[in-house]
Amino acid sequence: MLIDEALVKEALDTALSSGADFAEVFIEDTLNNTLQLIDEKVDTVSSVFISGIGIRAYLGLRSVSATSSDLSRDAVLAAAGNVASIIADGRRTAAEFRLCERLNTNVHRIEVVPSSYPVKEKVEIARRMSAAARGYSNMIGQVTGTIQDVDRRILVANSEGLLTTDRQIRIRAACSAVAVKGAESQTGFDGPGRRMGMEFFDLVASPEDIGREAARQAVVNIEAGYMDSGVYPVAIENGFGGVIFHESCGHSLEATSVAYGTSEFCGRKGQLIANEKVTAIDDGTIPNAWGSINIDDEGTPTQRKVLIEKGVLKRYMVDRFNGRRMNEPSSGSARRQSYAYTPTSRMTNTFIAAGEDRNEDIIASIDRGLYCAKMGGGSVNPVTGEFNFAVTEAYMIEDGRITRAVRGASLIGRGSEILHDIDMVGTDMRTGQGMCGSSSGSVPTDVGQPLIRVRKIIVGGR
Amino acid sequence: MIDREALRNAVQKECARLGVEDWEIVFSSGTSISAEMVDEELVEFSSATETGISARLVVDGREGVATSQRVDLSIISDLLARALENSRVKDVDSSYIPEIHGPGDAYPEKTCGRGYLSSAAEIRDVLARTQRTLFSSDGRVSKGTSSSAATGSGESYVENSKGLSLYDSWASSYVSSSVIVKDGEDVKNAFHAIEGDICKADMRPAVDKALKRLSAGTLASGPRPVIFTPDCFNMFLSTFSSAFSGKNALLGLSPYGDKVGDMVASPCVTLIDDPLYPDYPAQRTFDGDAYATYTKTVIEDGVLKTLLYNRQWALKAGCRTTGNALSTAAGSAIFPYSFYIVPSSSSFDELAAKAGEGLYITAMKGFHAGADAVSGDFSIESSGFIISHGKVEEPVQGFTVAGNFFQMLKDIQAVGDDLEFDVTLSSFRTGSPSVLVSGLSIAGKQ
Repeated sequence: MLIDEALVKEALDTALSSGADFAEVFIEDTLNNTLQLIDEKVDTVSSVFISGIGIRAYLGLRSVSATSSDLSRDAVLAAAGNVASIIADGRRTAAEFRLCERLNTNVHRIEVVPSSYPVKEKVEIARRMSAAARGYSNMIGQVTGTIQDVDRRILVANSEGLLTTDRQIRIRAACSAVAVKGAESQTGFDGPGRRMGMEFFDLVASPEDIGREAARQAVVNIEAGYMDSGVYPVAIENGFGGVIFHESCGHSLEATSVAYGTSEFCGRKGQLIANEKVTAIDDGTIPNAWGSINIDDEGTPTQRKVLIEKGVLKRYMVDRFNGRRMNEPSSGSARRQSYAYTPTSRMTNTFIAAGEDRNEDIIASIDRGLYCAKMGGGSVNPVTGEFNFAVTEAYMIEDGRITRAVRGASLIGRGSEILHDIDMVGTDMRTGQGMCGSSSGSVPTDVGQPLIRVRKIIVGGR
Repeated sequence: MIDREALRNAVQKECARLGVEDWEIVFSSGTSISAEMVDEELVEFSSATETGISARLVVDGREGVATSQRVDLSIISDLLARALENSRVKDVDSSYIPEIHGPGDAYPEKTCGRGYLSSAAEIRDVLARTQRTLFSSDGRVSKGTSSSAATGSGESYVENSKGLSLYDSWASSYVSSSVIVKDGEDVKNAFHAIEGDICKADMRPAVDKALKRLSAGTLASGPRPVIFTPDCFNMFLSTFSSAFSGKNALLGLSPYGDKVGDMVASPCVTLIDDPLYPDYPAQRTFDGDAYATYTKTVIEDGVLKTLLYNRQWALKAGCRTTGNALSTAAGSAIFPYSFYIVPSSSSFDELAAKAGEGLYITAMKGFHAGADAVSGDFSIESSGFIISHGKVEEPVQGFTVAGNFFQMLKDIQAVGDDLEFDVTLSSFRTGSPSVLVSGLSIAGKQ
């Protein structure tokens, strides 16, 4: 890493020197590469080097931190000194400790590290993706193809003697295609990603698959009509459909909102908060999954956590600092976009587990409703539980059959209500990839579910 | 902190070694402190030192960029090597020959002061006082109510191989409150933020906003006239500002490609892009291509007057740059500055009277997913108040407002006199008064 162990120890000692009861150092050295083609021509290529240190100390339920992109000895010790000067509690002297290195299990095999792969060959992959989108239909106008890769090395050390490192490599390919008909334009998007190397394009999705999928959605939407808004039963498809759980419930189970008593799910462990068909899991251990981590950004090994089991709330997602307030150990959920953000509890790969309902029965059970084939993003107000998310590909269900395509729908509701209204859960669980934004920045997360039925929900549209 | 002269020399030397003649570096640095208080407890206190260097090279008619947050002499060779490799995959484009901009522009002067900078002690005092005031202002203000404050300053230098040298600096302070109110089982929250002299900040409007949301009812579906608060309409302007980019117009990602000179909005709409809006600490005198900035009318009385360009896309469109280049990690992008709708002399009460029977929308959420910047379609979770007989009445929640932004600009019936900007420290921000729009689609519970 960028600074030596002796300086790490000195920074921890300095941060502890004025009475803090815990101190932590986080060092990061990251390279982000992004390549974007517009209409098969290279539009932008960027390389961003991110490195710096985040030093944090606790005194009881108070956290003080300092970050610096300058990793010189003077700057590191000045940052640690800033922390100590704010803590300034002369009543305690810190206990002596020694740093001992811990090596973590790495379940993510990376065949070809993307940051060392030639840019011109990435251009070729992005070109294939764009060409496949363009070739899909003569209605496709503008096509954007993007390849992003991240090579993130982190070191975490703390006053409990922990010293550990991880290297997190991710790749994501995204295609956005615009279909044009008369004066109208509609956009389609596909953006799979993994904690994987360039082998992603052989093992997960070929550039052609991604390009064609984006174009297909754009063409469906340009031909789609508008729907009558109102309250309907809906069937939400697997993959990125899982954003419904992520927004309606996931964020409200993060210690970020539970610790201060602001979440609508506070103090409800052991209670039935969802339909008995709902089992929901946050699992950071899945090999090569987009949201997986070996260790969290506080150095705690990631876990598989059953959050809701058959409708009963079992666990929250907890980071070390908020865990103090909740009197719970960390669940390995602390994440930060970079050293410059203060970490907090976040999701990893979060999904509704497979159930027992057959897909055809779910569709057949709906007389008049909406089949949401692809979802966009959404957001939630964890205090009230009110959430929203956008449907990017949808069809009417009439008399138990999927009929015409409709566009521009959004779904809104309240987390505690919607969880009880998920009354059918299919068998084929799949995930979709997203970037989740919260107070500790933007982090990669998977959402997922099988096909589910929601008994009733407000569907907004024109 | 690294010496600027040493950095420049290192870049110059490494470029010479690589055979690169045309280069530009932007070196930035800043410090900030921020804190958060929940209830009566100071739970987070952070300080930050940030630096950044971005390098742009032009080699054989192609440009390459690379950026680093770490600024020391050891990063220079990696940074320039990446920028050079990135340049080599670009196609040579006859309609756009990249250049490094030389001296000679008439750069405007900043008219704002340097902005407010606060001390750590002031931040703590402001938070303690704010939280006390919030809790004492109403018995329904509840646990979990929090306030955050931040203060910071920064500077940046541009230096290039043509001998151009530009400098900018800023300082700013910010305070925000997130208030939770409870009345029995009914929980509501609201947010308020202020940029500027935080020692004088009064955050009680957040309490007022939250209390007014209590006991909200539901709504039947159907079209209604709508008044948006400045806050809400700013989110529209921010989401759809990309439609005014000359790049997006050329690429077919905006309906405005062939519309300069046409009516694209109601005659009561005038939209300005102002890099030098009075008293804003993030005023910009030069853009990301190092060209001089200037103020421009984008829509005048409903007529589209110009789109926004950087040098690259202006050349491709056959016109002059409007000085709207924003330097990003991916190179020069196009962004507005203070981008605002000019207020009228109509009061809010006049707008409400004109609406008659309608809705006053005070909160909207989910623009990042529920609005499509290319088609203009939106469907957004909203809450607000019923307008009945021209007066704002009871609160309503749990509905969506849907329409098409490009059509909505034409359907604006009136704009108010209450211009407000969104609170940000970035050079791009949006501003709007209250806006009355005829018939938008509402989807509610009943």
